[in-house]
Amino acid sequence: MREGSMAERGGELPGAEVARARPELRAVAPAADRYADWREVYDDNVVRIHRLMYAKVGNRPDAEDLTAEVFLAALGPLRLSVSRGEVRAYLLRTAQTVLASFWRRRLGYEVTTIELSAAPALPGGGPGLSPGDDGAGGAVATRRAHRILESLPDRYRRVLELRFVEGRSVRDSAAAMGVTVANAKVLQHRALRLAASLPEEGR
Amino acid sequence: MRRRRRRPVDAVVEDQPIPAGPPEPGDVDLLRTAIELRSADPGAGVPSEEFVDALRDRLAAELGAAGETPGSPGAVPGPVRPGGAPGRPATGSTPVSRRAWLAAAGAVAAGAAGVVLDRSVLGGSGHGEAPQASGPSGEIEPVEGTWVPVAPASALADGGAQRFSTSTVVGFVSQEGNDLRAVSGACTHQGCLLRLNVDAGRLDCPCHRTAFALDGKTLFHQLAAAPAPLPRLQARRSGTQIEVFVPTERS
Repeated sequence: MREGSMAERGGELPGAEVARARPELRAVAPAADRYADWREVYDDNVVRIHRLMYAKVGNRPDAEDLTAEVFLAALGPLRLSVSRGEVRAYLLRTAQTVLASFWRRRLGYEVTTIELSAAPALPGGGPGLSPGDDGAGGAVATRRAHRILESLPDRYRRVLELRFVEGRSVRDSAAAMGVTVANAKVLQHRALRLAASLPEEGR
Repeated sequence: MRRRRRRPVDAVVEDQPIPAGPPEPGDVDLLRTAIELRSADPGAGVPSEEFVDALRDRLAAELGAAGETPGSPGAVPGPVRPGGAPGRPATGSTPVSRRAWLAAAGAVAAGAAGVVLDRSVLGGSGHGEAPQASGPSGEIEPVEGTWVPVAPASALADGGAQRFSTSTVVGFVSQEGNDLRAVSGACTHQGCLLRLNVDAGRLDCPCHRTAFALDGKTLFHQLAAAPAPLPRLQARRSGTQIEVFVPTERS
């Protein structure tokens, strides 16, 4: 049945010749384009992934938990023989699933998503993020947030700037605006409602 | 007035975790807006050094050894249907509550026994390649088993191989020299039943491009991590029959 035992093939496992003939099988990237170990993968990507998750859930505790989930899930099966771009793409796909699972558990509704585009936006191939997303530092998200603020009436913009951009408490924001705390809460709520009703711009 | 559960949008504004539970009508748009506005402060998304260090420690404990990435059999993204879209990450990835993993990282830092998952370290090359499984991943030893004939001895003459299927296992018997062996016929990645590739003398997985040798060794694959070798079953010759020790079916 078989054409020869392993010895007759010169001691080579049958898999080696197949892998050579079909480069898509366990292709190994050039050494310069690989991560050396999981620590390098982590150090090179933890800030990026955390910023991405923060942009998707808007609070630090959840962003930290989700970042941890991504790395705990991804680093175990990770193959270090592929290019850095492919590793980053794999982390992104993991992040996408982790985020979706988070929303399902927490609210039962997918409030935000990570959209992967088909176009390879990363060196070495692999899916990048869609144009509306940017995992590279949030500059796009920051600009979008400021555009929302700029389109609001003065008092609404002011209260949201105090709360979101300057991170002040309700009490401090009320004092800065010369209103009561109760008024500030109402203003904030109305401002958010108005901002939420604005036409979506690549959300 | 009935006290409502805290609204998700308020949690985000206060930089608190989003509370669980189905949102009220209108809450989702508000929440989405609030999340977007959080990005107005570009510095807000930068992780703290404490967090980055603590997670690194936790990962070091989970992964077991500095610089090694153990191949994790079965914990690979990918749907069962072949050629599908990018799939889910590792199975068994449970949500990690902040307190739990910070506590674990703290325990590691304090020198207590780290949390080391029971991953088989498969003898890595140490050169940046994920380690390839090097030997059989063990033998199936059922609590209650029976020797059953699965093939005539003549079928294995001249290095032949034969598939067998009982009510409890499917597998392949083969012979190389004097070495009679039987291996499970289920791919160790996601359980698809392997096909005997007669010409190439190996077992191919119909779901992904994974292949095993007849003695169970993983030959090649196209997955993020090498699937484990096929478990072996005990085999023997009894008269003119090849028998395999399989789990007894419970009636």
